[in-house]
Amino acid sequence: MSQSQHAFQRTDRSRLGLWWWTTDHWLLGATAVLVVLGVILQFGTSPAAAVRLGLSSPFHFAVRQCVFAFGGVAILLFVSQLGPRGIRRVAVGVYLVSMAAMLTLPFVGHVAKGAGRWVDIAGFTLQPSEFMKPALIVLVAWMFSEGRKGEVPGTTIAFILYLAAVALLLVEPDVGQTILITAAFGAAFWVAGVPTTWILALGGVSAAGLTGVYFAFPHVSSRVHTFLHQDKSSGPTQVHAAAEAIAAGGLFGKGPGEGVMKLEIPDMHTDFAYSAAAEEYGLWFSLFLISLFAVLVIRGLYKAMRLADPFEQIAAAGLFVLVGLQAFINVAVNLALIPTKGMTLPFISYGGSSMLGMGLTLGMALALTRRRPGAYASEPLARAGDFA
Amino acid sequence: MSVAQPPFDGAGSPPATPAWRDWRAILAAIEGATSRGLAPGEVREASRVRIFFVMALFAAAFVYAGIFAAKAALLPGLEGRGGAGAPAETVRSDLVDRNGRVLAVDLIRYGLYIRPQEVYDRAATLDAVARILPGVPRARLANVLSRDKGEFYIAGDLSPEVRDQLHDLALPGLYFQDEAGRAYPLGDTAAQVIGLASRDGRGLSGAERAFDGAIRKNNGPVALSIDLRVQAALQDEVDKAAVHFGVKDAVGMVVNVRTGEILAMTSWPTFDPNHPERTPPENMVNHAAATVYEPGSVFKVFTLAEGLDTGAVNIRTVFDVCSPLVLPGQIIHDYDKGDCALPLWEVFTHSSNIGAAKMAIRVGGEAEDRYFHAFGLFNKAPSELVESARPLTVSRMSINSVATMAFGQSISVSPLALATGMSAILNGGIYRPLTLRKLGPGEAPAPGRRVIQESTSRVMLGLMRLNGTNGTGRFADDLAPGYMVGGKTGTATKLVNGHYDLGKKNLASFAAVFPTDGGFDQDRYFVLVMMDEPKALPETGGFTTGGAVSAPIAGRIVERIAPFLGQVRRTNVWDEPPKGRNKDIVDAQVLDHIQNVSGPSGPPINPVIAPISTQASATRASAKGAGGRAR
Repeated sequence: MSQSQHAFQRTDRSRLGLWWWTTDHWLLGATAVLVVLGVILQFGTSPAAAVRLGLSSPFHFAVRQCVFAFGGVAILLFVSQLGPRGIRRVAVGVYLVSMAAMLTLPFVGHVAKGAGRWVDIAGFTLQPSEFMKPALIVLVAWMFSEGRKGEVPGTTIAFILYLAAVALLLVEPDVGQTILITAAFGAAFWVAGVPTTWILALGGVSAAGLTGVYFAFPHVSSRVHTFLHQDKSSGPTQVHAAAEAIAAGGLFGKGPGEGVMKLEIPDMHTDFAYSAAAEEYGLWFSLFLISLFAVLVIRGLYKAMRLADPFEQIAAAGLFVLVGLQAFINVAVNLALIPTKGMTLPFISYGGSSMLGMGLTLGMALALTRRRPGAYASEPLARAGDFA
Repeated sequence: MSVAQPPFDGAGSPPATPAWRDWRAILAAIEGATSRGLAPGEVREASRVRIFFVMALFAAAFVYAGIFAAKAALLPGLEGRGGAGAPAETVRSDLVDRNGRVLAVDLIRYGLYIRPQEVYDRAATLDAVARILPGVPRARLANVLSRDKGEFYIAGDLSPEVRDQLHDLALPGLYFQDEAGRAYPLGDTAAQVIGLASRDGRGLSGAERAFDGAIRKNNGPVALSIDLRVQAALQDEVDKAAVHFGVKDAVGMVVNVRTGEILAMTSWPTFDPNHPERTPPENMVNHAAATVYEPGSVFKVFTLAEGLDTGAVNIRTVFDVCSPLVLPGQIIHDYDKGDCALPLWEVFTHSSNIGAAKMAIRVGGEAEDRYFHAFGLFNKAPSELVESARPLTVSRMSINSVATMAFGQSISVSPLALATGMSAILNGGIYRPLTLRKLGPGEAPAPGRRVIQESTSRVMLGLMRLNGTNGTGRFADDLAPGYMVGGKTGTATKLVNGHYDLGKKNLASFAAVFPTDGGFDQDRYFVLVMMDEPKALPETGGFTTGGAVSAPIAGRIVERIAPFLGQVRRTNVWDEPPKGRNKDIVDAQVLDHIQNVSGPSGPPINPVIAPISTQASATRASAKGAGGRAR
């Protein structure tokens, strides 16, 4: 949309013009590059999966990723134009709908890879939890900030919203998402100003919960076991294949489309898209990808830090933590630093729910960090020594 | 909704009302505990500090991810390499000869795979690939392209140019894989010694296998001891002679006996290692290392070295060879009938089987066993070459085996083992494994172990020289005058249906050494030529003996390689006896020479007692007589 500098005049007071001049261009730019890269990479990596699944068109997934990208961008454009109140409304609506969908999952859910996470809607399978995550973060941020005013038992409501989400996630079961929203929830809670002892307590409960999860869900314990005892003789696991792909890529990669690991291993276009990209484009590209996420998250948190309104501050920080954690966990899984989780690399991995959910997440985050009168308080950012 | 309670400490106690009585009180407690009653501005500042902390954590996390990404990409280490689809490690060092000339180099080569399920236009793909790769049968391509799944290897060893042509077609479903292309620019020169490497970059045979570890380290070229100039001369002469005499197979070797380095090694028939697929497998055999032969009279070198070194006999010890030697179930004849009383040196130059057998029996089976062991004849030659073959030996020493082994029967050794043992006799008495690795500048030869006294070695050099000037080896010396060539012939009659069928099928050998004079700290070269089953030709008088067939080949080889090896042609009284000169005088001088270099002492000999045939300056015309003695 920015084919020339005259696309939007400074004096452009139209809705889109206002949006353009108030949205943070760093965040917008990083997001746009990620979306475009995600589509391009799918054209290289997904034909192997399409052929393996016997689909008629090798570009089945790539074309769908294109469609998803348009959908995600549309959601992002729409949501990012909203004000804080609009964001809260969207969050309430999305939370209620996705929680309702998740409630029905045990009955109508589409089970794949050891978990029933998907619901079929008009030929597309959607994963409601992807939309629930950002909505939950916005809602708990709202509740924390309201609770602070003392008129609403905000903390209690936030915990109820969180625990309800966790309960439904564990029914699926989706341990990865549970960990993700717990971490993002904890971050939002802490940022909201709660005494650190509470966070420590929450951490203790989470650790106990994780231990319980390890023993309760066989696929979790087996993944952890696989991670801890990486048996070289047990054939090419995804993690081994990912390591080989990354090593085969080296510094400059094997060239676009030249990767071979995608031919052997499923999920190279989804959860292991990072490795597939590293094999074909090399380390410099991997580092570029990581840097893009780093720019997105750190710039986003920086903007959140400077916001004046507590709700906007907590919500924006929570949303960027959500994106950053998801990216970091995915990359860490690809680099075999932590056990395998069913988690996508935002925008890069193939997946409609992920793409649309990320559109929603960043749409809300961009909306909250937009420049509006009074959004960034005129008071001094911080006194010297505050961060020391 | 309750109003904010007074501030509580994080771990503070609940309000006065019992908590479970009033849910409002519980809520108030939670809400109160989670905010410290800060003014809005203060909370905002606290949040900023905390967001900054989260930001710092993320910065650290992404740096951490970046570091591990770099580690995973650049230092794959031990993690799971070699699984399905892992690229083969195909880089191999160049192989060069001792002067740095290239023997084998890596080429960039590609294999073509087709995954038919990814091919859009099968007809166009078929036409395009068939046009660029005319060697691939169209039927095979069509068959592959008619499949719906799978991955098919179409062609290998594609050059970068061909690969680019295919790549530029931009056809989907065509995949390329790196291959280890190995080029041998010299073709069949030293083919068996250099050996072959597989497509996936492993050494299969020859030096490629022997030095696989060093080659795959890829630390610059790996230098062999081979001298390409010597190799070319040796191989040229051996190949020409092999064709000329219509042999079954043939072997040639040149060794620097001082250092133990193999300068040249050839085996006929040979092959082009660039096209091993067009080669019958038997042509790839390195007969110099992998085949064992019953060597015949060249073994008398070992026998005499053994006898002289024990001190039980000396070169003037006389043996009665008038009548055949009768052993249990076996009678040993001499080829050269008419000799009667021969001193040991003439047993050597006349190549008397009876004399050698009698000497071995006199010295004893125990000594023969011990010395032949020391010469390495009972074990496979220690060598980098995995092809080095185990000898065939009798399981138990008897008087028969002691007698027959003395002239090289009832034992089969590889030419490599023969050369290793002879080097020990000719280099001053140190047995050391022969090597294909070039010794570094100033690098000392392997220490080895002493197997005979230096004086014995000196006498053996003298006897070799005597045989070269006056005995069965003179055809070699004639063709390389002035290089002080000595040598010993061998004509091993082959066992045919359990009998030694005299004169039908022979192994004709010549073991030469030059120069025979000079100190043991100087380079000295051993040349071995073996012709397996040469055909009788008129020019050799119908003889297929070592003296008639192999000695001239060795002579031509020495004549060609000596200049490369820094040898200077010399002339003195017994280098080249003038025509018509009395050989007896020459013999006397030779024997004096042996004596002067401190052979084992004994009564002085009168050369007149045992005159050597006065057929001086042997020529091709007189080859019949000379060949006749070479047994």
